[in-house]
Amino acid sequence: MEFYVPGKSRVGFRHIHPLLAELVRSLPALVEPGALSDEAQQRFYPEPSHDENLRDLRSDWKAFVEPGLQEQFRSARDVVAADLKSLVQRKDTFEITIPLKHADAWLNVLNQARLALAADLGFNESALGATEPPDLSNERGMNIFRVNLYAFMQQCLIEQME
Amino acid sequence: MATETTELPASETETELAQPWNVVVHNDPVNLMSYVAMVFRRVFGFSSERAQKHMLEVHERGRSVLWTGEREKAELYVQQLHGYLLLATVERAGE
Repeated sequence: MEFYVPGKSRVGFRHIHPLLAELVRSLPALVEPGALSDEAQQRFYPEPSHDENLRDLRSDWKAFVEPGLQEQFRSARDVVAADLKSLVQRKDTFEITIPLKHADAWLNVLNQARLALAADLGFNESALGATEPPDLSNERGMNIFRVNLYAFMQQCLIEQME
Repeated sequence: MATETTELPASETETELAQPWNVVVHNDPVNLMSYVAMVFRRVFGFSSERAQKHMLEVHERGRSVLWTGEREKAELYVQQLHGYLLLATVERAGE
């Protein structure tokens, strides 16, 4: 899988192995609100303060801020889902190009996906920072691989945006 | 006619709003360091060097105070940081 810049206002990934293409295609479904575990929900909408005396702030946050965040995450998900329609097969591999102005939505959804997977499976710093390749014969190893794939895509986009 | 001014005690809310509040970002093992630094530059308008310094502080010490000031603005910053899926909180400065 290779990152490339097909023009001033577009970026893309090409030579995507079919397995990786499936993992990319599954991004929006992975972060659908109905698919999120309680752990992922808590990570997506964390407390605004650790101060026990700020109960009012917490209830206000739930009532007024969280709906805005939900909308923001939904909007990013919709952008990515629409862009994924252009994920096409070229011989044995796949490729996708996206408008550079959608890069923020992609960064957000890739982050949502990484956080959801990490929250569900309890990944810590050592699991994610391991230098040896993950064991792809089990679900945990496959999901670590998936988190790292999405990190690679984020890093490519960040470098292009800077 | 003599006039007299009596100073009324500040209400609890006024006192809370007047005191400075910190915006704190906490470490998490998932967010990329480059992503965190990019968010700091965008939200706070930091230079690359300053954003990098705070990002490393979060990574190495578990938290960093990004901004200190009035509570309302601190809450707005935390809201923005949550939009980027960073772990951020407000706290009273000096705690």
